[in-house]
Amino acid sequence: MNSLVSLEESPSDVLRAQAAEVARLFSLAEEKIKLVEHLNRQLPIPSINELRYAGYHLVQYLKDGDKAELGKAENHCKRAIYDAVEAGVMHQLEMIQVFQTDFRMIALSEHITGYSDLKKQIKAAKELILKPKNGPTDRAAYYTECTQHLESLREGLDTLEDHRDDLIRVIKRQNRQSLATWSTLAVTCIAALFTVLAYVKPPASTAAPSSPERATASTAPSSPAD
Amino acid sequence: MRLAKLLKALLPTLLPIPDRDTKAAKDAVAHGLVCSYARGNVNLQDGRYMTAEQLEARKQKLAQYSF
Repeated sequence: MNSLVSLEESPSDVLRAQAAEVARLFSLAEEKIKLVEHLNRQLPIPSINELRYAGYHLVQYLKDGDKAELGKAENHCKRAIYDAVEAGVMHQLEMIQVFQTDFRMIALSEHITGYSDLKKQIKAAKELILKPKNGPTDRAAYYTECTQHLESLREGLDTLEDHRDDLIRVIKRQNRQSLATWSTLAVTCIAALFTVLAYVKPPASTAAPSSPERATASTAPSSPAD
Repeated sequence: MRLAKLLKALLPTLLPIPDRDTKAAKDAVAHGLVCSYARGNVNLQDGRYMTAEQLEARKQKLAQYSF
């Protein structure tokens, strides 16, 4: 921002530009917090906390006129944006995880065009939020990148959810095929079982005369020689 | 009322067992307070908010999942 300011500008103009930037970031942070609250149906407390700090530094600036306070307020606004957007990204990733779990038995890349690109975006977003950040300054530096990831993930999730009905139909078709296979297999097994039983067990008409002899033989007392 | 008190004094009663984890109890108290004092935001009034700890826990859970 400072590079845009010409050398002819007075210090008051520089200050006004900086204040305008803080105001822009503050309203952007508010917008993102509202968006994430709407998406997640939960209020992200850490980002509201950062905005509270930003408000504190703005009040300090108004009281003392210290320029450093404006810079601090600006950084807190950036962190507020990052924290809100990070919560949004996490929610989108969780929703994608639910989608992948729902359709884990289907090769999604065969049914959804551009799924591999979406996976790359997902991995990039995951890496960004899991990247260790050394202190609050890092969070302020990543706020634009994280915002881009949120937008791309929202689009990606919409694409996935658009395919949900088609994928459910695919699962139903697969289930019908599986059921048909299993029923065929069951009928075959039962038929095979009956065939084996019919082969092993002699017919009742031929077995009837011999059965009393067998019975007497089996019930007869054993000889003392045994 | 007196009869109820008398019966309570005479008969053996089961004592309520406090939570082992005091942090969970503290969180529950904080949650209840937020719900009761919040004004102007439906999510806060319903106790739907994310603390930094909860976000960190969710992040760790996501870290273990392979997309």
